[in-house]
Amino acid sequence: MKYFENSVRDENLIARRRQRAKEQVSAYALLSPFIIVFVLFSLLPFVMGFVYLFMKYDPYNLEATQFYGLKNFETLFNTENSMSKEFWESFGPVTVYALCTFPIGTIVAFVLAYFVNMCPPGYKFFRACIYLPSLVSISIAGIVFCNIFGPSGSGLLNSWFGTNIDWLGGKPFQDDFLRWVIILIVCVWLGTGGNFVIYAGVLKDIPKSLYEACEMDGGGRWRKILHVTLPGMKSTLSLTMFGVIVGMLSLYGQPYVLNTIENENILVGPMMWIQKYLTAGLEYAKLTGYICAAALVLGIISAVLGLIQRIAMADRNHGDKYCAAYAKYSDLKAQSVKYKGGTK
Amino acid sequence: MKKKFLGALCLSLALALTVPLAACGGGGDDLNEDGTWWSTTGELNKDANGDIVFDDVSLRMSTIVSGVDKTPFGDIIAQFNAQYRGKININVIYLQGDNFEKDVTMKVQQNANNAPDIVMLHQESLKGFLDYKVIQPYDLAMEETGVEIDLTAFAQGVNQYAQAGTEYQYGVPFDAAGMVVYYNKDLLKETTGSDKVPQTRSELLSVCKQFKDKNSGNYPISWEMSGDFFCQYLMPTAVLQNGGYLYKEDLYADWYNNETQRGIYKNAIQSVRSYIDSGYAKKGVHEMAGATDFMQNKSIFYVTMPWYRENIVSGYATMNQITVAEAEAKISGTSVSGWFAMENETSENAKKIFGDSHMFAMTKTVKDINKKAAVCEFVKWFTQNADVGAQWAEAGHVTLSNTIATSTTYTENKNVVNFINNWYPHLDSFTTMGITPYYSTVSENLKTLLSESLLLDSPTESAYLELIKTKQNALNSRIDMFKM
Amino acid sequence: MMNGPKTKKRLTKSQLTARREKTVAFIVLAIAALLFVFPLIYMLGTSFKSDFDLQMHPDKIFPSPGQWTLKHYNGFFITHSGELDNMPKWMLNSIWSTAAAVGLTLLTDLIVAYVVVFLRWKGKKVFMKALFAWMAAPAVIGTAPGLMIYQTVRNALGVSSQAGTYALVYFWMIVPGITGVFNVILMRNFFKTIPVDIIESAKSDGASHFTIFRKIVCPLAKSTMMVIVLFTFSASWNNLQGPQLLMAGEGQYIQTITVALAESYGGSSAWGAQGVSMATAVFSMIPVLIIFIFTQNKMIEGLAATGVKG
Repeated sequence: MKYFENSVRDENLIARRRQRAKEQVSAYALLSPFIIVFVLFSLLPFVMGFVYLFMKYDPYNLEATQFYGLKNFETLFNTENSMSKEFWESFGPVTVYALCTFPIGTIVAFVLAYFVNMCPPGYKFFRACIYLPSLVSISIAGIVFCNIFGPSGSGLLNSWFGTNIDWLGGKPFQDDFLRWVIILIVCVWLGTGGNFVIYAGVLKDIPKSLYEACEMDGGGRWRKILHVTLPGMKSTLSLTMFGVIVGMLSLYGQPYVLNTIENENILVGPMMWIQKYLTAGLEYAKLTGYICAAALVLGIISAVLGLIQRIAMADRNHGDKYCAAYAKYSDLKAQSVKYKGGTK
Repeated sequence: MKKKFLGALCLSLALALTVPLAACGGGGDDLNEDGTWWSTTGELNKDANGDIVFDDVSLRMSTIVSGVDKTPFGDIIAQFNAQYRGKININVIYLQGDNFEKDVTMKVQQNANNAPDIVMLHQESLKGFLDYKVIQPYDLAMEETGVEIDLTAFAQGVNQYAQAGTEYQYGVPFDAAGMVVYYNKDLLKETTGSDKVPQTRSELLSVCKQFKDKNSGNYPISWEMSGDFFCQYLMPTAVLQNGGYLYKEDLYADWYNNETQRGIYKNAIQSVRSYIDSGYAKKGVHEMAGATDFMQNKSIFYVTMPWYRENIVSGYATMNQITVAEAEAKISGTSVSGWFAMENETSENAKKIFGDSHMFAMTKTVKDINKKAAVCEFVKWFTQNADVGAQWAEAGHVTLSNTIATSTTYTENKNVVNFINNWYPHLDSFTTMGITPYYSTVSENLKTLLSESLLLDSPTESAYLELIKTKQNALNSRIDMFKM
Repeated sequence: MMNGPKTKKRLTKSQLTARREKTVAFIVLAIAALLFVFPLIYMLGTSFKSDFDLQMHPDKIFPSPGQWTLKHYNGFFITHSGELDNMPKWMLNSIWSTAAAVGLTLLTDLIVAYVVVFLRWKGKKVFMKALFAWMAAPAVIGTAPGLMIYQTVRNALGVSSQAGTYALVYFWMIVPGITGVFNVILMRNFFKTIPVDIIESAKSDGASHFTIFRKIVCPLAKSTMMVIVLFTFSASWNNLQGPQLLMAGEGQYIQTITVALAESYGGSSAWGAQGVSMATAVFSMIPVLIIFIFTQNKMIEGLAATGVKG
């Protein structure tokens, strides 16, 4: 008997092992296209960029390529150098802009989602209207807004009110405040749609029972928002804000299309600096390593800022007792589902 | 697990390092022993009479032509291909801006099989192509093949740069374009009582004053400061007309450091600015507004680009509800020659105009002597054929070839008579950027120097001098960067 | 039923608040919707204005009576030399490349997420850790070298014809985007919420992985698929920076709509082109609008359903 059971057990073991080996092979086979494409197009350039950082690399004069050590970084951090100065100065406008305005994008989306959640008549139509602009491309947005805010000869607002406000002109930190207002408007116009819909969905998921519990404790509207709604959306809010901040540091499209002759050559963002010198003329080719170094610095700064934001919004005990209770409740529910084997 | 990750990383690092090395092997320089990088192979196909026979030679041309110019240029190439059917066929690739140079350089250096044989470049790109060994001496190729033209028979102002400071001639400069002036004949006559077009700065100022006295609400000169080329062409023009130069022999700028230059650059800015300050031209004008004023008969002169001629004439006709022929009779051309010379109005310098010039050059990938002959044949056709010259002039480009400029077909063309010759009255005084690999930085700093000066609210001399100093230093430090 | 006199029902307090809430919400949303849609209406109206009207009446949103014209839409298809003009080419480029990007991304995400969640294999943890790490990596330093690699490959292959260049540029534009890690993680998170029991029972019924994939997992994932479709669609359609780098210096036939519009009409607009630029903008939005109209309900519901939880 024992030997029979053992052999059956062995057979099962072998069968399972074989199946596992098969799964292993299939897994690698199925993943291989993904991995190959990823390595070739994402990983390889990334690694090469790292390598170029330490070299003086001229793609049109390969013989002159030489190992440069940290010299590219030295140049980059040498603020006397004209190009480095331009790079660091370009951080200024973008950072100020990002700091002042990243809450606005989130707040607008949240407020709109909150109202939609009340399901007033026609809310589906409004929802579609608010979402539609986010599908528009930045170039179209540029054309339309340039014409709305153009000078009195052709601009819509200026001719309506008979004014001649130079919305899009001016230089950074001097007199281009209005231009940044417009950039903000366009950013909000284009970016609200996505976040808005996500928030609307998450809002729906917050169970009504939590609101009722808050009400019974005597909470009015504001308390409900502060203690039920916001904490319930915390992880979503955190994720979307991360996207907003990182996106703002890489600001490229908006200033590129919203400008006048006064400031069209001024680089108001580090991304614009990188793009400009990557696509510039032949004489800039020998500075490729240096430009890559700048790109790395930009990447690191973005990552750090993003990390800070994530940490700041990480789960902490806030007195969101309703949410803690809800978490416990949903855990229980999930467990029961598992045991019963039912579907969601 | 970590080991696997590290392993993967090392592998990709190794891969990354091999790529530049591999590319090194692929392209690289095949230098001859004497340091030259061109060569000739094969023998010329000749017929019984000793004339060259072209047997289905296919050439590729990369050109920097774009925008409004593409159609007229394409038409001309089509004409050539039709005329030389079965013998030579040219395939044109239109590239834009900065990528023109990089694309051509990379393809030629890699000996790619789609590398161009002929390049049509701006004169300013010549030095860059030479430094990267992209082009070969045109005069040598010409001598070898026997398809010759007189390389000295071109306007001297530009032709002086064709050798790029060497003993060989690399480019053939065949056309030019700068800022030009359209003017309203009737309005001029009304203002001054005569048909005489102002030739010097003081004459122009007096015409403007007369206009302003009669029409205080309008501006005698229209221009659009936000136009692509406005500041880019006008600033050097103003500098040259005041007797200055753009950079020293060592390629650095001394706009501020050299006292004479300082005065010249200040005068240059003031000469342009004075039109605004006297109320003769508007400041900060957005695109299209200048054209509108001119077409509505609100100004006498309109300063813009030569390739808008057709649009301006037909737009004028529509706006005034007359036929195009009638509009053509009412508009003519004059030049910016003399407009900005603050002193010495009648000197040779005052006649100078700055702009771009197109050149043809042969790339080093052309080795077979029959191909070289075909290239020379095309260049000869383009630069000596009066019909072609007239056609290209109608698109707004004046010819720099003496042969074409003196032929009757060209000189009797009505657009040449009415516009082209008036736009560029002294062809030998037409100047371009010259021989510097840093031309784009020079150009950008000159351009922003003018645009920022013009937009100043309180235009004092010291403000101008500050700007001149800033831009000079920006240019010089950028050159330091390139030399690093 | 007794049909007595109709007495006015007194609403409870919470019902009153609800009604007040809804009115406020209605007003706020109406204003917001109007503000959001207004620029698009302006764009539409201006595209029909005649040149004369554009100059004389820049303050009107819609053309004055008698000044409606289709002139700006005229030049779209045939130029004066009888060739197919660029607009349709650009439109087609954008359409097919976006469709390819969406389709390929979806397929890849489904497969990779399935492999990661439902198959057992060694190295799974490393793989997932690598993916998460990549999300934090500054991918921007890869742009310059990526361009170099592209140029080198291109010269090595000796691509010369227009068709060859076109194929290479679009290959390079579409394929790298397929491995977008965010979407993979999205799909994986959803797959993880599928109760294991279903899969187990199917397996014990003898279903192969492929059948499970096709018949069980994919139909369940419809809402997440919609989300990915939407994200990929707008990202690909509106992509400006990447394609601009790749297409720099090529002929115009190769451009997508977004790149073409940005280069022709960005910033201080082109000479006399206000009407035409508006018309091109309207024209280029038509495919987006079509897709939007047909799927907006489903997509927005789908987007809301997943709620991207951290």
